[in-house]
Amino acid sequence: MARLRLFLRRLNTAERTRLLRSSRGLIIAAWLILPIHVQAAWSGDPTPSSSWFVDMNRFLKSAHGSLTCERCHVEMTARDKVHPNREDPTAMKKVVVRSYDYKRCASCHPEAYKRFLQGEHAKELAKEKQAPPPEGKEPPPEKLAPTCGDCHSSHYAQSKRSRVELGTQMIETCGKCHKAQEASYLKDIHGRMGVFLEKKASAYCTDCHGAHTCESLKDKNKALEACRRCHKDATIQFAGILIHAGQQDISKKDPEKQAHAAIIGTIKGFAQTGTIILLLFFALQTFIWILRELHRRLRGR
Amino acid sequence: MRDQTVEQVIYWRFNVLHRVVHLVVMFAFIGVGLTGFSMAFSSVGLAQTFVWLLGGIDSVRYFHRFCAVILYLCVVTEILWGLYYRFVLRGNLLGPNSICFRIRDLRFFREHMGYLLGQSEGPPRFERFTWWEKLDYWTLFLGMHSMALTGVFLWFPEFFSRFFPGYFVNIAQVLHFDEAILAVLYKFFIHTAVRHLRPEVYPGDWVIFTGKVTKETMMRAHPGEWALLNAHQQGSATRDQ
Repeated sequence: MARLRLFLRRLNTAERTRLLRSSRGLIIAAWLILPIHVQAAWSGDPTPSSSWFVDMNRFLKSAHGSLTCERCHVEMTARDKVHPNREDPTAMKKVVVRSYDYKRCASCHPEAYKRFLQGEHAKELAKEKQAPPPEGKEPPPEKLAPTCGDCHSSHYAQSKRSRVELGTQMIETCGKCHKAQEASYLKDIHGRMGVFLEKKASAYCTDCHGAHTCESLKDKNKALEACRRCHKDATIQFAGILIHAGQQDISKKDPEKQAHAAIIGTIKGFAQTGTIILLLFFALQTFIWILRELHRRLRGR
Repeated sequence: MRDQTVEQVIYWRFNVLHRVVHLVVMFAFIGVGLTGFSMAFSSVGLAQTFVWLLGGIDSVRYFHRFCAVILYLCVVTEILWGLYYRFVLRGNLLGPNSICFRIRDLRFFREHMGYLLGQSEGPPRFERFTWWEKLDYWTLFLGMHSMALTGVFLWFPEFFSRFFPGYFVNIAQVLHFDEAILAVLYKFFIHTAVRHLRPEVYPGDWVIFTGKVTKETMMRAHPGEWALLNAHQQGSATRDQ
């Protein structure tokens, strides 16, 4: 530092300006790049939740932070090959959530794993394993059946989160694949209260569909069971209330609900048109009225 | 009816009941609208702040229903007043001084539109209540009933889904929201503009709060009623002689 100061003091004015000018680009570049690093440090999500690289700072704060790596990644050799296999050029390009053996989760979370196996997502996964998509023509990740890792971040998921925090995160997680259902849920009273206004007693995705079973609730009796967890006096017709009220949310195999959604859509259309026409008429009439009286007053009558 | 003062003759247009009812309806309507819209547009940050200010969603829901009940009680008060007016005061509900619509109002409406479009020099000779005053009154009166109907569907969905299919609750929600938009925009903008921004009444028509109108206003805005009143007085004067 002292040497640098001495060096700068020895320079004359012309030399000093030349040095500044030549280093100006560097200074500007530093100012442009700096915010990116600051942002990365602040936002706290520089690495995706499941990848070959683990952000140890975030891992240690997570629910699994007290576990050793070997607890989940049991053996570092598989089929006599060291993991990861350096000879295999695709080793690091494999999608982790597809290649990890999620049976290992069951050693700590047996109940959750059992429910997952009973549920719709596991059925889809089994179908996909029987008839895997052709090589190179794999659909985008949101079209594939989910494994544990698709919904849960094994390295960064935090424990002891509040019900509202979990629910809000759930909307994002489920919404990655079920986009239309996310949108219609957020329009429904449960979504508006639970997600935006933080009402704890509201129902989030898994409160009705089950955390790991992920049922579709097309069957009215099953839906009623879900309703009754909060609405004790609900009857079978109560289960006919559309929660995901958009027509694209409802399966084509359910003509009754489709018809109901169509009726709701028609009534909505009429109501909105009527509202707009009435408001436009009265707004225009009031505007002309004010102009007319102004005109009359200016004429002195 | 008439009250002699030093400067000018004052006519009583609204009695104390109607003034109080209007004031209560005004505040309850603002309350019900603010809380309702903060729930309907809950994804907006402003709505979330408002809900936070009122102490959370549970108290907002309570306040919304509280205001709604108050509003409906005002409607009930008006019904009771109508019965009192008809059977105790022996008033004529279909007469020229009544708030009820008459066939004649259609003609007034047509003439008023003609005046706005420049077909005549002045407004028609309105009676005690003009067509837009009657419209303001009856839209709120009837609107409160339909809002109450859809509102109780949303309040007690378990009870009502015993008698109606479940999707009726969805329909109730759609209608409740759309009618709320209509009512709030109409009352907050159009009703306010008609009562404040028109050059005839600018900067404000305070008659609903004070209940009094001057002779000049009476002659200008309600010439029909003025003529009727004078005819009655002259009639009674001649009869007295």
